[in-house]
Amino acid sequence: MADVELRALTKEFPGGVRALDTLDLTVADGEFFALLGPSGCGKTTLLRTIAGLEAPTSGQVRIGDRDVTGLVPGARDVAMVFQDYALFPHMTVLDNIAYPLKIKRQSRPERSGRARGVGANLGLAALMDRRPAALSGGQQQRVALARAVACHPSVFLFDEPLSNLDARLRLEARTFLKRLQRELAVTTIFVTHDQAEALALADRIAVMEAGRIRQVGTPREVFGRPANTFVANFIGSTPMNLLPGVVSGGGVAVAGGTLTPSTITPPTAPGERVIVGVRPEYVSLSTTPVDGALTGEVSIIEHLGAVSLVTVEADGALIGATVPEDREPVPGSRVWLSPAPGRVLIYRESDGELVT
Amino acid sequence: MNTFLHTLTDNGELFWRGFKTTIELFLISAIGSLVLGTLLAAARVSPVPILRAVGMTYVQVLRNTPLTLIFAFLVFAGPKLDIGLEYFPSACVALIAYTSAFICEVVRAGVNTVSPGQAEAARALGMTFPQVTGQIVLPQAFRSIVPPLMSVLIAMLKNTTIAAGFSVVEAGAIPQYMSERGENQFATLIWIVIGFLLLIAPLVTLQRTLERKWGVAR
Repeated sequence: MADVELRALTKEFPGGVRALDTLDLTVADGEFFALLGPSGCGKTTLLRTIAGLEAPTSGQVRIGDRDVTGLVPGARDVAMVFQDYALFPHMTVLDNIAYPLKIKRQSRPERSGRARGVGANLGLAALMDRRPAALSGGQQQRVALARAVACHPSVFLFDEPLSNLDARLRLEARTFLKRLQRELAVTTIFVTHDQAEALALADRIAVMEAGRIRQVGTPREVFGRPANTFVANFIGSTPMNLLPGVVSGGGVAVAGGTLTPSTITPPTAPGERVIVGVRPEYVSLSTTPVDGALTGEVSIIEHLGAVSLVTVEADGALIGATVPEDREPVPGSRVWLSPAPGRVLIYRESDGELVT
Repeated sequence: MNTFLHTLTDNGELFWRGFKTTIELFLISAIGSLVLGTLLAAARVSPVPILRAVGMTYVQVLRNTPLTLIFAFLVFAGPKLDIGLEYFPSACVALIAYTSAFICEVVRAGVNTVSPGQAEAARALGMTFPQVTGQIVLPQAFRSIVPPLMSVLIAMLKNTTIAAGFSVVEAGAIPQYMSERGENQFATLIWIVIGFLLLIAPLVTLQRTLERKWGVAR
């Protein structure tokens, strides 16, 4: 059991690519923490640096009370689960789970007993004598997890733990993973590019871009109040509406209309250029005129199951709104859009940071 | 036909002595070069630059030197450098030194077929370089190099005949003795060919068995 602390961590690869840029982060003891970001943002490098597979150019990695920056992976008391699982194909499931314990100098009966115990907990009891090639993807993933769990580390590191599973199995494995982490209460850091996965699993999320952390927060915070337009764009299964506007009088002129103070708290300086952000889920759509609403023509309707995403063209801007199924407007018809009060976010256009 | 059989039966002791030496030479050199070749391969993929340099230099020098020259060096130049060995050990050393360079390269090719993630996972689990190499990488590497490895060993078995030129009485030396005894040279050579075929058969069987056994483990 330990917290993980990163201090001014920087990793520069030969050739000058900065994968991590003076990064500070603290992950609390027992926390389920997600590193989220698009590919190339440095999230996997960060995980590998915590594991000790990469050496940072400068900065510190601390696990619990120890500075582990200079330690080899085996001395850090972490266990990593790889994206492709990296099971040892020439060993049985039992040996795959028990082998790391041999490194830790446990006796044969002790390690085989523990491996069987952990294996049984993860539903692998009937598969202990098989080789990895004779297992399904989901089973292989559980063996990889069992191998990590059997080590009793203070920190788990998961690299894209669900990305090698097919869509349906992924949901099952997600629930399984969350329950496992709750039961073991071991600090867990995992990397994902899938924002839905991060929102569903993590206690807290760090959203990364180009080697920096753009926002750290609970799923609710990151989803409800993205700190900047990058995070706003990245989080959410339907992309957030980000509309350029200008502060004017008591509101913000946007998409041919004006959002008035009843729906937003206007930022300070009139005339300032801003970006108005509102999630399609928080935009209500009406087929009859509404006071103070933005208006436009329905251009596209996408069916997402229980809801449909309607894209409306309003004065050259495209605005998305979700409507319940069977309530879709007719394409080409005029509709009125009003954002839910308190759900409109204003970002500065200059640097994309949240104003209010 | 009678003459042909008699060529063997009348000189059975000579054939036996020759092929027994060939087998001894082969077994000692095979084990020696497999061990040394594997160590060299480990050196060539190790994270220590000096080890990699040593491994590479060894392979470049020994692989590019004719085997006869290595024999000659050990047998004729060796005594002058105070490393005088008997003829048989000299032959073993020469064969091991030469063949291990080839084994090293075959094993290294095998190491490259193992995904880097395997070594990384092993490292993340706390294994040291010798453990990663010995327990995770090499066992998998050997699975994919059985055929080329056997080719190298078969070539080495045939290379043992060079020892005849350096006073080791092995199968390759039989024709000379037979000619001194006035025996039929043609029949002698045929019998030696048959002898080598019989020696190579177990190697081929071993290769098949290993391929079948390890084929499923992937």
